[in-house]
Amino acid sequence: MKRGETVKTKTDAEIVLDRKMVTLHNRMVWDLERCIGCQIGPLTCPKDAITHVPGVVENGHLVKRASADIDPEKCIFCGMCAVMCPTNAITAWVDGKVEVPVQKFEAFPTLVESTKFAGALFDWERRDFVIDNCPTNVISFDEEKETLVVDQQHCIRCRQCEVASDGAFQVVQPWEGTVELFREKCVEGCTACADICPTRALHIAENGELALADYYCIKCGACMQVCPIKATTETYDITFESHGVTYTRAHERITNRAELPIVVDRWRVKHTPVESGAWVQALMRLADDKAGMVEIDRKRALRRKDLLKALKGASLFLEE
Amino acid sequence: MAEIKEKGNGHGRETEDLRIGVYVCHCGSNIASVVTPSEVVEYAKTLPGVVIAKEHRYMCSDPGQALIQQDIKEFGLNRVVVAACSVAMHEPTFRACISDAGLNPFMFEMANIREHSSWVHSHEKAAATHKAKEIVASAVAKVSYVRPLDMFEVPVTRRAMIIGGGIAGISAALDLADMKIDTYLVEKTPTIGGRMAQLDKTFPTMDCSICIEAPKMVDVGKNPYIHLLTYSEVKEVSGYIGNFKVKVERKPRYVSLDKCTGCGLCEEVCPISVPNEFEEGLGPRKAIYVPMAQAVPSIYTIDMDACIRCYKCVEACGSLSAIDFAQEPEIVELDIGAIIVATGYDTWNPEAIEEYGFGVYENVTTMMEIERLHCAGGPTVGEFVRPSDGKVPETLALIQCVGSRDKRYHEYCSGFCCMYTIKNAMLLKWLYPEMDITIFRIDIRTPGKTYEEFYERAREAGIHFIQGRPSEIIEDPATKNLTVHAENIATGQHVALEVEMVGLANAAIPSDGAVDLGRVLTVPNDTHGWFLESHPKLKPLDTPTEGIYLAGSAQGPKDIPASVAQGSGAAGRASRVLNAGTWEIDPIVAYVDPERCINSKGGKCTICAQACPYGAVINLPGTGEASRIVPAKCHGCGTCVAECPQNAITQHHFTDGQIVAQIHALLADEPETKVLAFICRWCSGMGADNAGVSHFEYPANTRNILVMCAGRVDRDFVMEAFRLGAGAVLVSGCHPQDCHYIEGRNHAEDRMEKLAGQLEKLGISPGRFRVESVSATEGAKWARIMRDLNEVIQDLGVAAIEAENEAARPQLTKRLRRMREVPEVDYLLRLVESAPLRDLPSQTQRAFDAGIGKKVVQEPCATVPAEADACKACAIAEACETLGAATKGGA
Repeated sequence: MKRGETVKTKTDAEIVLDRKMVTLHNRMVWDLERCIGCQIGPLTCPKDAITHVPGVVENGHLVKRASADIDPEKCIFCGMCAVMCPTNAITAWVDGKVEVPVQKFEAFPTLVESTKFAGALFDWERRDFVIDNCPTNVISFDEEKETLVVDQQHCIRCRQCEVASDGAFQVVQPWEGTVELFREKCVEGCTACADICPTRALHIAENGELALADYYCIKCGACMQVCPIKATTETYDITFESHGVTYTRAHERITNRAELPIVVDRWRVKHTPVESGAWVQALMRLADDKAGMVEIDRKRALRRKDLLKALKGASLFLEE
Repeated sequence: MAEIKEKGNGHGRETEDLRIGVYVCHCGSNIASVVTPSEVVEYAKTLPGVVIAKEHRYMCSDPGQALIQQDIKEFGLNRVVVAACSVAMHEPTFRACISDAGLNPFMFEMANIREHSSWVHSHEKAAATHKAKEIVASAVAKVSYVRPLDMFEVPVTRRAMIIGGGIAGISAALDLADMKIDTYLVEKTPTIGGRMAQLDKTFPTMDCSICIEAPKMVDVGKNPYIHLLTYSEVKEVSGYIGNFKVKVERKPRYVSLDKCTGCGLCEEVCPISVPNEFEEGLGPRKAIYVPMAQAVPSIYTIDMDACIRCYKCVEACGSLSAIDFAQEPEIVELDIGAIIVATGYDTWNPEAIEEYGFGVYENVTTMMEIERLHCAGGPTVGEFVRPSDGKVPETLALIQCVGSRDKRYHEYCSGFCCMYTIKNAMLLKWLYPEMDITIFRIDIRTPGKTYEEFYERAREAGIHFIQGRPSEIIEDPATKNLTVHAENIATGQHVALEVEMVGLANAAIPSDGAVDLGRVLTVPNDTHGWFLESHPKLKPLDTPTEGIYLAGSAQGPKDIPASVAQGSGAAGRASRVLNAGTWEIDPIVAYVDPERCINSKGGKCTICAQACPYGAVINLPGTGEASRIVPAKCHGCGTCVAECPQNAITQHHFTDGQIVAQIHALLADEPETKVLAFICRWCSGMGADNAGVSHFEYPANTRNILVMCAGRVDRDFVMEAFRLGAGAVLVSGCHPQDCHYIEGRNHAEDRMEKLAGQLEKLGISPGRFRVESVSATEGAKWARIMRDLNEVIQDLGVAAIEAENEAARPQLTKRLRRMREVPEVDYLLRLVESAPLRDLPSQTQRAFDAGIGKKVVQEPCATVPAEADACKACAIAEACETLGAATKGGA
């Protein structure tokens, strides 16, 4: 290992990449216990450094979780995956502090997401129930302040607490989209998706059947990855022009949508404003063309607005 | 040896015309202590055509040369043989010598009795003398058939190219520019400056390295005669001295050279940091970067491996719009007259030495890292800290000869490490007087001016020196301190020294890609990968390829003054050519006898065109026109000559007749006991010379015939050798990647592999015919091959060899019948067989008149405009250009 080369340490619990220079120390940590192999990481990575490791399903049960692996030679420690990871399994460190370089340099947005608690509206009888109900155990009781606190860094915004607390908790999820379960298309007796679902949106109902509570879904798509009925895809080229260069990228789209028991669609994501090609490219891969186009459209709209402002009487319709 | 004469074995063409002088050199005692010169002289006098034979202590000295010149006048000599050293050493000397006395310089032959005899058979003096006699006989046989040739003049493009923008390349470029020579400086990284730019201070004067180099870099950037091609690599080189065609790939910087002002706003907004190669990975650079503040040109480059295309830089650059993501690699084609290779060195990765723990123990560093750590321009702004905790170490050990002078890795001494280690120790002592510094050394080598005094100052400054190469370094995992274990040779005691940080003086190695570049340039690399000079003493800046020169560490590790001096020296060597206007090259090109070429009778043969590595053959199959060779494009390897099934092609100065005469001369006496080797004069010839210089002994029953390239070795030569009874035959050329004629030796290998099968069928034991590759540095390999072949002969025994040859002879004779189609060979064989020469002299003369002995001139193109399409098809267009208007005009 020469100075500044990336060193990878892999255990069952985590993958750590370290890049130590004398004046800069980059570190990326993938918490494999949180990782659900949802594919968002591999889709986000601009250098294809992250690969999907498929899970193993036996007799309708998940016996090995899907996961991810990292190529230390490709990772450039940009931190995009850390921003997008739906289960907060990835952390980017710079010189011993948690820091995402792409966000620091405003080349990537912060996702708009939150979990707020209004203690006054809460039925404190339900305290223990709400705490136990959280799938990620991020809610705890602060003895001093006598209130419930949320570990914001690890909360995955599943809204279980929102329902359990009758609205005393308010959750904003970053992703918008749809999830649909077609039970009749399932492999008989298979509950693998419920095994991987981090939010219990997919669960075994009281009648013993697989059920979907779509309100909790965070659109991570991990269920599709473990489902024994695999999505088949075709690649198609999308061509776009950016900064004088015409790029052709291979994208994938599902061709057997009608056969799939579980389908997750990501439409758009809430984020802080940003001007960045890297963000547009990540979006185009994460949310098929739609979100990317929305992003491009938003920029166009801003430009149109500038144009309109220059017109006489613009104030009439641009008041608000 | 009287019987040779009686048999009339191949000596002499038109004996009455020959007036040959033979001069045997003692070379002090180099030759005379083994070979008895007087015996060789007496023997030479008996050879046909020899009118005088003399010996001298130093033939190459003024009196020695004067002796030859005087004899030429006094005895009317028309040919001269000097029995001395190798062609590489003194052929040019004696050619010039006889030329001054009025003879054509090609009426000369060198007999190498030093490298090929006295130096390698010192324990068999009688056999060495006998061998020397036969080498002289071979040279006399060849010189009997040589013809006068005029040097061939080519135009010179007055434009230089320097590959590598370190201090050697910079020095060469500035000198050439001073002579107002357009100079292209090609550098593969984004900036010039090279290794010197990375150094903090320089020994022994302690002046700041970049402070003295940066002004020179700026001069290069501003000089109107210097054209910088940074972030570029040489991909293809064709042509020859004065007329190279070079293809350079300019890698995309994604930043416009014209628009970028080097303001650095882009760098500030770039989110991606990666290790900076210039800082040895100690600190980061951005994905858009200049390697260092003093970079020339001061233009940013985007590292696409790190770029995430966020376009923040585009935003920051704003209206300058210097960033251009649309850039693509671009190939620039240049006409160049001379090339200087100044590719410098890389540092070796000492991870291989596991016991030192580099790459495992954080505080084990390389010397270049130490350099960057105490440099004020470095990542720590000059604060010398250890990597594990960023603290200034109180104790430091520096270890010498890490990977150099170590048979496991690099045998050679890297030269400058003693001095820069001492320099780093001195600098740190200045910066941190309390720091305890120990240098572990084998020897301290201080050969430069005031270097020894510098070493003395270091000792006075309190730097400790321990003689002993450390055996192991062990890290304390808690403190990250290191214990260096060594044997102190002075006291014989084991030393276990605990220090906070260790610096390794790791070996210098040829820069990455040097061997590949060698292939592109057809310049050989030595076994370590350093570029090989033409002669280690007298042509240290030249390469075996004319018009290509070496400067700086590309040739072997060098410090700054030596690199600067070599840069200037190489500029001088190159300007010799560039300022000459025209350049003379050897007229040893190939020539087609149009009457014998089958295409002149409507044939559709393309063999010569396929064999030519340079596209020098104008081949018009089916048109009724004989093939022709463009002299300016022909490099004189002779591959087409050997390939031509009609024996219609001849190479000047290496004709079939000359070579067959040599075969006959060398195999006249006891052929069954001999090893006859056909060797190219580059790698294998220099390899054989290297065996001589290194005094690697091998049996004296070995004889060599030198050709330009193994590609010239005709199947007929090998068969003729066996027909004459040879014990073993070797054909040896360069290694495939080193061939001086691109692929001449590959043609030879294909040809000889087929022949080997045929010979085996004829009953020749497989070990008796061998094809080998020997490089110019593989003297040991050459000696081993010679011993092996001798063993084959010993194991079989003369009787068995005779029997095999006897059985094969009828078939060999049958197959060799066509060799006589060459009039010169027929003439020679008739002489040998004492057959009537009826009519032959005139026929030979006719052949010579038709071109074999004709001067090489630039003939006008014979192709009439109506056939211009065919002309283009055979790729003459390019050659026509180099030949100038006379040819272009054509008919």
